[in-house]
Amino acid sequence: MDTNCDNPFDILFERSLAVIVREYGFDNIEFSAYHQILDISNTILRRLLLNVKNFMEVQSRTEPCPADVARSLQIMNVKLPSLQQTFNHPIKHRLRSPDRQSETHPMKLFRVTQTTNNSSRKHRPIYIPDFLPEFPDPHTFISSETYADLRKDYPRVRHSLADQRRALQRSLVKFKLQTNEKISVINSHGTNINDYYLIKNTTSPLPYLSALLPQDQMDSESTEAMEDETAANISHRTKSLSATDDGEM
Amino acid sequence: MELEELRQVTRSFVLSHQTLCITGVSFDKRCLVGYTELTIHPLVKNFNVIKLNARQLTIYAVTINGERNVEFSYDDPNIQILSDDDPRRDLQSFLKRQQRFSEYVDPDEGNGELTIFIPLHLQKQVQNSSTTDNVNNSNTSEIVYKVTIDFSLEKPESGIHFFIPDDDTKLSRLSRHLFTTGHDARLWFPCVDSYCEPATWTIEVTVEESLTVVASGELIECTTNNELKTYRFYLSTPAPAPFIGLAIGSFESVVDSNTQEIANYCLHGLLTLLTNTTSFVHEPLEYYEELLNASCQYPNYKQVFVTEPYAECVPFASMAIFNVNLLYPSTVIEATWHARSQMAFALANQFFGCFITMRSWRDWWLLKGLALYLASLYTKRAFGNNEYRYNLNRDMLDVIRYEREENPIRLDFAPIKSESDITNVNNRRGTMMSSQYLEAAAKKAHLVVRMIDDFIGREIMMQILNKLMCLATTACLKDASLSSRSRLHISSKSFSRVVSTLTTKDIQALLTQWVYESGCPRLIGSFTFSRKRNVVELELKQDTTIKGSKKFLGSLVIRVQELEGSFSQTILLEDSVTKYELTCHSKVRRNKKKKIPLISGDEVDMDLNQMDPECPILWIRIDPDLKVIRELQFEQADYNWQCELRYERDILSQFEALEALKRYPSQNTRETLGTVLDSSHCFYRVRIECAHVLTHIANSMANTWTGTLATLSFFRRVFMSTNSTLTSTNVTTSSTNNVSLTAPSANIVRINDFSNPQMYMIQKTIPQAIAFQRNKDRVCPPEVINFLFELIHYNENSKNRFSDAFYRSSLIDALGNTLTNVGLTSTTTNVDLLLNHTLDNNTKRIFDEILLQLNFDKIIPSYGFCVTCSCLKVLHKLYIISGIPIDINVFYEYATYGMFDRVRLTACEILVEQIETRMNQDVFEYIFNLIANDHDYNLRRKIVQHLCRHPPFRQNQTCSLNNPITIHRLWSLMKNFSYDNHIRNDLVELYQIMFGLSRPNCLPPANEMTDSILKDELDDVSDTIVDIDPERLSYFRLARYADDTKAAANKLASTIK
Repeated sequence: MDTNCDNPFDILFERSLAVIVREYGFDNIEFSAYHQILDISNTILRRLLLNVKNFMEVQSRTEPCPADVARSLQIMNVKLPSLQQTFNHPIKHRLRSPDRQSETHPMKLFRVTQTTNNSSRKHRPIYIPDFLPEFPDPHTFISSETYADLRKDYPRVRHSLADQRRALQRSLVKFKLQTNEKISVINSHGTNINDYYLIKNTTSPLPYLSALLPQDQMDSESTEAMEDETAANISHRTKSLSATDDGEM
Repeated sequence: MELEELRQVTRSFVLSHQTLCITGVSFDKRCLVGYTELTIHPLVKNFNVIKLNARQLTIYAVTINGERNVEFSYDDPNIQILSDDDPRRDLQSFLKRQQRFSEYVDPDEGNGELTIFIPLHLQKQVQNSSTTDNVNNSNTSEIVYKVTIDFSLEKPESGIHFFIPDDDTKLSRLSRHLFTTGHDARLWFPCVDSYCEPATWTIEVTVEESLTVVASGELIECTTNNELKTYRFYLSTPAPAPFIGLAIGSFESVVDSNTQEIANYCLHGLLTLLTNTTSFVHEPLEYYEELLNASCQYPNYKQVFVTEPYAECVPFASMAIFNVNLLYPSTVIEATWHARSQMAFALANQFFGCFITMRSWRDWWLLKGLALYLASLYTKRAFGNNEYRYNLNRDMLDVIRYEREENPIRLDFAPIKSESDITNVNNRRGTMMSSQYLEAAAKKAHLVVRMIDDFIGREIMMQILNKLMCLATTACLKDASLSSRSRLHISSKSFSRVVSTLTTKDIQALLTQWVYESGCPRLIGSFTFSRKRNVVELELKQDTTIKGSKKFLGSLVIRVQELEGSFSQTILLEDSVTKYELTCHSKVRRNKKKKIPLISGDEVDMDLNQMDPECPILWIRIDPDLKVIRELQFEQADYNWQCELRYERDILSQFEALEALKRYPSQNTRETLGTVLDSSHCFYRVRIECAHVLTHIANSMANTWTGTLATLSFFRRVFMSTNSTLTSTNVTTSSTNNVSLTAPSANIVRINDFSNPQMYMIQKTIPQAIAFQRNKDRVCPPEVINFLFELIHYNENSKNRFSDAFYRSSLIDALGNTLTNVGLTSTTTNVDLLLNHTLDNNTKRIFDEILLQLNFDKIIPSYGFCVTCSCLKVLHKLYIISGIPIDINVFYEYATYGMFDRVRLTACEILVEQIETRMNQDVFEYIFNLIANDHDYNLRRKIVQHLCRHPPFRQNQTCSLNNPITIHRLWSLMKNFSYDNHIRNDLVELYQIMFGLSRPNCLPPANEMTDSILKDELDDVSDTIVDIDPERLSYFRLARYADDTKAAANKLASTIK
C-alpha cells in the first residue's frame, strides 16, 4: 500500500475496490490477492477506456457517449444483461467521502499584535479571572534558548565578518543581475551554459566622476572627519579666491 | 652672435606682439570665431609677402594697417599628402612627400600655409614714412605692419578639443569645456608656429557668463556685458605661439593656500580631489627658484584638469593642462607619485621648455632633458634618493631596450639631407616622430643632461642654468630690444658655448657621443685576482656586434669593495677589449674577526666562511652612479653577488645583484634573499624585487625545493595574525564539535592598515610575486592559490584610512599570475564539458571570483576602476591560457565610449593582443573603427601605440591579416588624419612595422613601366608645389574666400547667440 499512499485518487480507487469486495461478503482478504484484484480491475478499466477512446476517435468525436461504452464492453466479451444484474444488486456499503484536506499555511514570520492577541487568549489559563488584563505578547515573557555561538575570539569574528561581507557582495551582485540587463561571459556557440553573467554596463556621459570620486570608503569614520576638514579648507580657499578675483577686477 | 644664429631662420620678419581675440564660442556647433592681430617688423628691404601658419581654419579677411581685404592665399599641402588613387602604397614616397610638405610650410624656413601679399602702395607708404622719419637710419626695424586676420574654426579635429557630453542634464551642461590639446598653434589660430618666435600676447575671450576662461598670461580685465563675459589676458613675458594655452569651461577653482600665484581649475564636482592633489604645488616652485636662484618669469601659474586631453600633461606658458585622471582623493596612496612628478614636470617647463624654448627641433632634447632633469631633482628631494636612483635606472634600461629592440635614438633631430637616407620613420624631422620614439628619446635626453651635470659639476651646472635664466629675464624687460628676445631660446650649440665660457670644459665630445649619434655601449666585464702581485686583473670588453650598440671611449668608475674598505678608481676605456690591473689594498687574512668598512661609512660584521680565503675582494662594481648610458654584464662569483646584495646599501647595486642572482639558484642564494626580504632597513623596491627573484629561484629549483617559500612565511609573519590564540581556542572548543564547520584557516590577514606606505607597497606586491611560484609539475601549488583566496576572503578595510582598491586589484593580478596552461590537454569545444569537467577546480574558482569582483566593481566602483581593469586582464588570461571561451563581446562592452577611459584602454589593449594572438578579422575591424571614429583622441593614440608594440604581424610574416584590405584600411587612416600629426606618425610607424618601407609584398608588384612614369610625375608635382609661384596660385583660390566677410562673421556670431 505504501506505493499508493501518496496519490489520493489511488487511495480512493483502492477503497472502492475494497468496498466492492466487502459487498460480496469478504471480511478479510490476503494482501497479495487483493493487489492482484486491484491490478486486474485496473487493467480492465484501462482496456475499457482505451476501447472507448478508440471508438470515439473512429467516429471522430472528442467526447465519449454511452454507446461507445456499451460497444467497448461488448468487444471485451462482457454480457450486457449480466451487467444489468449486477447493477440491480442492492448496495449495502458506501464509500465514505474523502476527508477535506486543509491547506497548510506557511508560518508567518514577524507576527505582530493582531494575531498574537488571539493566541494570547488561548494562553490564558482558566484559573485567571476575566477581569484581569490580558497577557502581553508571548515573546515578552517566554524565553527560548538560542544556540548561536557567542564566543568571540579574534579569528571567529574575522571569519564571520568576512563571511558577511562576501555574502553581501554575492547577494548584491545577484540582485543586480536579476534586476539589470546582463550579458553572458561565455561564448557558448548555441549551447546554453548560462551560469556566467556580467551586469551590463551603463555608459555615462561623465564617466570620470564615478571613477575618481571615492565610493568604497563611505563607512569609514576617519575619512568622513577628514572630508569635513578638507571641505572646511576648501570653503576657506574659495573665499580667498573670490576675494582675489574682486581685487583683480 | 645670437642674431647670427637667428639668421639661420629664414623668416623675413620679426613678430613683436600678437593679439588673439576670440569673439564667440559655440559649444553646440563646436566652433570658435575670432580675429588675431600680429605686429610684424620686417627684416628685409623689399618685404612684400607675409607667410603665416594656419590650418583647418576658415580665413575671412586680412587687414594690414587699416587696409581692408588684402589679397591672400591659403594652401595646406599636408591635407593632400596621400591620394587614394595613388596605387603605390609604399612608405618611401609617402615619407618623402611628407617631409617635403612639412618643409613647405615650416615657419623656420620662412614658409607657411597662409600667404599674405602686402599691397604695393602700402609698401611704399611705409617705406616712405620710415625713410622720412629716420633718414639717417637705414635700419628697417622701425617699419611696422599690423596684420589682422578674421578667422573661424569649426569642428576641429585637433588643436582644440571640445568635450561635450551627449545628454542634457544640468551636470553635463556644466561639464562642457574646451581646451588646447598640444603645441600645434596653427591648428586653432593664424600665427607663426615656431618655437623661436617669442612675442608678447594679448588674449581676449568672450564667452557666456557661466563659463570661466583660463589662458596664458595674467588676467588684467574681466568685463560683463549682456550676459557675455570678456576675459582679457596679457602675457608680458614673450612666448612663442605653440605655448599659448587656452581652456574654457565652468571650472571650479582653488587658489594654492601657500602662494596666491598658483591657481588650480577642475571640472564640476571634483573640487575635493583638486584640493588634495594640488596642495603641494608650491613646493616644486620654491625648490626650482631656490635651485636656479631665479624666479619664475610668469606672473602666475594655472593648472587645469580636463577630460580627454591628448596627453597626460601639456605645459603652456604660465599654465598647464592635465588629464583629470591625475586627480586623486586623499585615501588613494599610489596615485601620488605619478601625479606629483607630472605636475613637477609641468612646473619645470615654466623655466626650461616654455619660458626658455628650443631654437629648432634639433634642440628638442636639450629643453626636454633640462625640464626632466629639474623635475627629477625635485622628485629626488620629495621622494628620496632611492626612488630617484630607481627611476634613473629604469629609464636607462628602457632606453637601452628601445635601442636594442626598436630604433636607434639620435637625439639631434637634424633633417635628413638626402631623401635616400630614410631608413626609418623616426629618422626625420622633429614633428614627424612617433610617440614611442619621443618617449624613449625624452628619457635619453634626461640621462644626457644628467651626464653633462656630472661632467661639469652640479654647482657649475646650476650657475649655467642661472645664467641662461638671467639672460632670458633681461629679454622680458619692457624696454628690451626685439633682438634680445633671441636669448629666450637656446640650442645645443649655444648651450655648449655657454658651458665652455663659464667653465674650461668642452662638452662637444660628450654631445657627439650621445646626441649627434645613436647607440649605447654594452660592456662585458670579469675579473681575476692575482695573489702574488696582490692585484685585481679586470677585463672589459665592448660588444659592438649587437643592434644599437656603439663603442664608448672615456672614463669609467670602478668601485672595489675589499676587506679593508671600499676603493674607487677611474679607468679609461680606450679599446673594445681592455685589461686593467687594480692594486688591491687589503691583505688576505684568516679568521680575524674584524668589522668591514663600507662606502657608506658603516662598519659591518660579515660572515666570511663562504669566501675564497685566497681573495680579499668582496665585490666589484662598474660605473656605480650611472654616469654612462650602458648595458652592463659583469661576471663575479655567486658569493660576491650575495655579499653585494646583503651588505651594499646602494639600491642600484642591490638590483644588479638581484638580477645576477637569478642565474645562481642555490640554497645560499635562497638564504640571502630571505634575509634581505626580511630586513626592514632595505628599500621597499629591493624587497619586492627580492620576492620576485626568490620565486624565480624556487621555480628553477622546483625539483629539490623543500619547505614553503620564504616570501610566503614572511608575509604570514608580518601581515597575518599569529595563530597562537587560535590553537588555544581550537583546543577549548573542539568538544562542541562545530569547529570543523567554522574553523578558520591557521592565519588570517590582519585588517588593513596602510599607514606605512612602504609596508603597504610590500603587502600589495608580494602576493603577485608569490603567485608566480610553480611546483615540479609546472603548476602553481594549491597552497599558494588557497593563500591568495584567503587574502581576498579576509580582506577587511573598514578601519583603514586608505582605500584598498589597488590592493584588491593587485590580489586579482596575483590570481592571474597563478594561471598556467600545463595539464590543459583537452581541446574540447564543448563548453559545458569544459566548464564542468575538464577545467581544474582552481581555475574555475578563479573564474568565479573574477566575475564576482567584476560585477561588484560595477556596483561600488574602485578608484579609477582599477579592479575592473585587473579583472579584465585576468579574464583575458583565462581565455588565452586556460582556454575558457570568453565572449569577445565582453571586451567590446568595456571598450565602448562612455566607460571610464582607463577601462576602455585596458579593454582595447586586450583586443589588440587578441588580434596579435588570434588574428581575428572582426576584432581588427573593430579596432580600426575605434581609431578612425572614436571621440576620445587620446584613446585612439594609445591604441595605435599599443598596436605598434603588439602588431598582428611584422614585415614579411605570413598572417591571414597580411592582405591588401588591411593595407588599404591603414593607408586611408593615414590619409584621414591630416591634422593630427601625432597619430599619423604613429600610424606610419605601424605601417612600417607591418609592411616595411617599400611596397608591401602582398600587393601585386606594380607594373614597372607605369610605376616609374607615375613616380616621375608625382615627383614633378611635389617639386612644383614647393616653388610654385604663390601669386599665380592665389588667384583662383582667392575667389573662394574673398566674400563679404563681415556678413559671414555676423551670421556666425548671431547663430552662437
